[in-house]
Amino acid sequence: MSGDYSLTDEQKMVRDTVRRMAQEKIAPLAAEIDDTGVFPSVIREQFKELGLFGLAFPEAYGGSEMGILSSALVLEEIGRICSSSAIICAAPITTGLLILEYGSDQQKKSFIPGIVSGNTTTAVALFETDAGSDPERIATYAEKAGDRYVINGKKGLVDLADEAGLIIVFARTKNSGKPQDISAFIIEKDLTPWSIERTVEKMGTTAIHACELVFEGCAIPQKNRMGEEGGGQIIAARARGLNCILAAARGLGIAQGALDYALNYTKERVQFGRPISSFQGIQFMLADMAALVETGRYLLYKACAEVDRGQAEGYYFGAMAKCFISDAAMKVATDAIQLLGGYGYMKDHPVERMMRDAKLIQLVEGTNYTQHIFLAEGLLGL
Amino acid sequence: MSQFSLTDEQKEFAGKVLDLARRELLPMSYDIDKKGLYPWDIVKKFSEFGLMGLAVPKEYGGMGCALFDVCLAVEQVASVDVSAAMWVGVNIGGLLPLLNGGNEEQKRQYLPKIATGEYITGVAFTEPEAGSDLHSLRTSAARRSDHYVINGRKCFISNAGIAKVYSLLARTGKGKGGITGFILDADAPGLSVGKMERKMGVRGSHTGDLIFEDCKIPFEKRLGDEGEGTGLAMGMLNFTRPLIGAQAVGLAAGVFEYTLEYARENKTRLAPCFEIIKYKLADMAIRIEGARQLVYQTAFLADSGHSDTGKFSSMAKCFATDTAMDVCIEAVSVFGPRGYTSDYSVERFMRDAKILQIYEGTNQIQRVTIAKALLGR
Ligand SMILES: Cc1cc2nc3c(=O)[nH]c(=O)nc-3n(C[C@H](O)[C@H](O)[C@H](O)COP(=O)(O)OP(=O)(O)OC[C@H]3O[C@@H](n4cnc5c(N)ncnc54)[C@H](O)[C@@H]3O)c2cc1C
Ligand SMILES: Cc1cc2nc3c(=O)[nH]c(=O)nc-3n(C[C@H](O)[C@H](O)[C@H](O)COP(=O)(O)OP(=O)(O)OC[C@H]3O[C@@H](n4cnc5c(N)ncnc54)[C@H](O)[C@@H]3O)c2cc1C
Repeated sequence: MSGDYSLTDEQKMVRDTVRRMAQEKIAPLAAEIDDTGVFPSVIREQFKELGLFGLAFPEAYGGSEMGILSSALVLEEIGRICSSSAIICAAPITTGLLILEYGSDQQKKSFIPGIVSGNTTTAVALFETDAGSDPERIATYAEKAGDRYVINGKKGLVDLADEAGLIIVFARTKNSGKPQDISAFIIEKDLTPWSIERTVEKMGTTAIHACELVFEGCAIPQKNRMGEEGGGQIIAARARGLNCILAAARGLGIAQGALDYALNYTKERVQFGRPISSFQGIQFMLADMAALVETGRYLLYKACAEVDRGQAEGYYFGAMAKCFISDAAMKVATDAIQLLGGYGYMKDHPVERMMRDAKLIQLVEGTNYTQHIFLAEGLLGL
Repeated sequence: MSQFSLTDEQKEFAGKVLDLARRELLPMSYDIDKKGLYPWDIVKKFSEFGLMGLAVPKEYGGMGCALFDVCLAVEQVASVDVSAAMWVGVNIGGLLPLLNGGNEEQKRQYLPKIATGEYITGVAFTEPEAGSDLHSLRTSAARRSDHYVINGRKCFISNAGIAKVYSLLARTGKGKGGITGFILDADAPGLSVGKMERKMGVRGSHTGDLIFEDCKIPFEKRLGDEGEGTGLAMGMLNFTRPLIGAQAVGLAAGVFEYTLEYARENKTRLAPCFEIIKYKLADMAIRIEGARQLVYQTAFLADSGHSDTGKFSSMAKCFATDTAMDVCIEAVSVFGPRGYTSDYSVERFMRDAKILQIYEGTNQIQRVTIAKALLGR
């Protein structure tokens, strides 16, 4: 296990550029995005302009071939300011990388350029309200009919399904109840629209609408199946793996953002005639928060570096990073509110939003309970 | 010296409060949170039951409850809705300086109306630059012939705009000894309600600024003598800190109840992680029970006038509110992705819980206080 990573000059440049952009363009809108639950298109335009969707993709598809580490750096920077914006940036990356790894040549040609340029918006629908995301329990069914599949079923909590032009859907292609019977499909809205039954109200990242979808006799051409029939389980696991890394990067952003904010605040806030940062009780908290952020960062970057070197164990570290960082982000954001006292509880400051947004990351891509079991299975060789 | 079980009377009392809270609040809590409602009709029912006058002595028309029973009642309400537990709790905070420092005439004028819920009360201590460090407050009370002229700004005042009467601290001189308590009528000339806050949680409890521009308060409204304000504040906090502890115990126990029920009903869904979840449930139960015992013990000590009350009050507040926060964060995890949605109330409880670690003295200040008591000044 070689743990080294180092950032190239190019990666540092991208990071610094995005840091500046996030400060200038996203920060002034972040509170409003949370309040209104509406995501402004100007931010997506910024991402497109800077080529942020294509960082991890080959040049042949219009990408810049800088690895998933560069995407993680970018999501961290955006996540420091606005977690909803970070999800907007992350969603197409997962979809695109799945198609890159498992799609047919034709699928790659038709879909990846649009994803890289940011013109195609995407979603991934694995989760079902009753079944969870466990391949053994997924109920959505894709029935083969000639050269088509007809999909029937419901998916829950699918981020951005209301805006997406393309969805990867996981469905059962045989009825034996085995995880090996799951297949992945690419559905294009223009050809076979899906319907949204409900947008779920939630505690944070309010501008990212989590939707309940219904597929009723949704007929899609066979060529839109991704990978083999029955190959869905492996693709779903990869989706988890990729999403763990990207979610960890978002979480790291929240943790760093909350720490930065609290640090500045405690230096300026005076009580008992001195800056509150001069109290050891406060210093102790700040030091703990910083240690969590740094530790999480190295774990995540290591995971990314391994994936970029083509090492599958990178995804294992990615799951570890998702767990560690989401717990860290939750603690750091909660403590950041504490450090601001009453002010931290108010919407005038971003830390209460950060706490709400941090909680999500403990729950997605498999709750941290699920992730712990996954990690233990790896350790024990189960 | 310790009391290890509730009397039958106390159990019956707690049961009645819980019934009332569930009946009135369960159908409303979602809207109270989303729309920031202060539903007067429910407050009226609370008043009729006696909840708004729990701490008002019987001779003034209240229930005359000792702190122990106050905590018991507040715990029940908080297990259903934390905003509602603040309607009850803040009202007690607001009347304590009057009860402890007021003269007979002042008490006769206000307490009966507070007991019936006709007057809602508030506590006006905090200022933008004086939060944890209350002694640095600047709002001035200048003495004139027969009245004081108040100038300044108070912030984060619960019940701002709702209360008919506030307990106010303002400065009549320099230093710690220059702080004086007043009864402030909401319609005092020169008083206005300023900015109302938008908060992460407890949105049914309204929080806002009070602005004083040459606000006149007659001499008769001063509580005790000039300079006695700090003592009035300490007296209040010794009583309200265990009460916040009780809010926290109620909140945690309420969330725990929902979580247990969810775990039981969704055993199959949760099967892959159920062993972990069992540990987590056990951990929650351990801490909630510990917090409850500490709060009860503290209330018991306070009621018997024990000299360690201050230290215990801080310990109970700190331990119980940290417990509530951690229990809520874990509870949402047990619910999993569903817990993040407003389809369930655990996310609301989680947002509500955070306030408990902050107000009535942050949990850092509680630790400072506890350490002082332990080490000697
Ligand atoms: C606001 C919100 C938005 C969401 N958006 C989406 C969305 O857009 N699309 C969507 O499909 N779901 C979405 N979800 C659901 C979410 O991502 C998870 O599916 C959900 O957390 C359920 O997790 P679970 O712990 O119940 O595990 P399950 O979902 O039941 O998953 C367990 C399975 O995952 C496997 N697994 C666990 N960890 C890994 C790993 N690191 N690598 C590979 N395999 C692993 C396990 O072996 C097991 O087979 C969303 C949830 C929320 C709250
Ligand atoms: C919803 C809400 C309702 C409220 N209701 C009322 C009310 O009705 N009436 C009223 O008067 N007030 C009310 N308050 C105010 C509340 O009591 C204060 O917010 C609280 O006392 C903290 O003060 P502050 O916000 O100024 O934080 P600060 O005092 O600025 O504290 C900031 C941080 O510094 C820490 N800190 C400060 N001093 C020290 C120290 N010596 N050692 C270590 N750490 C330290 C604190 O723990 C905190 O983490 C309310 C607040 C809120 C949020």
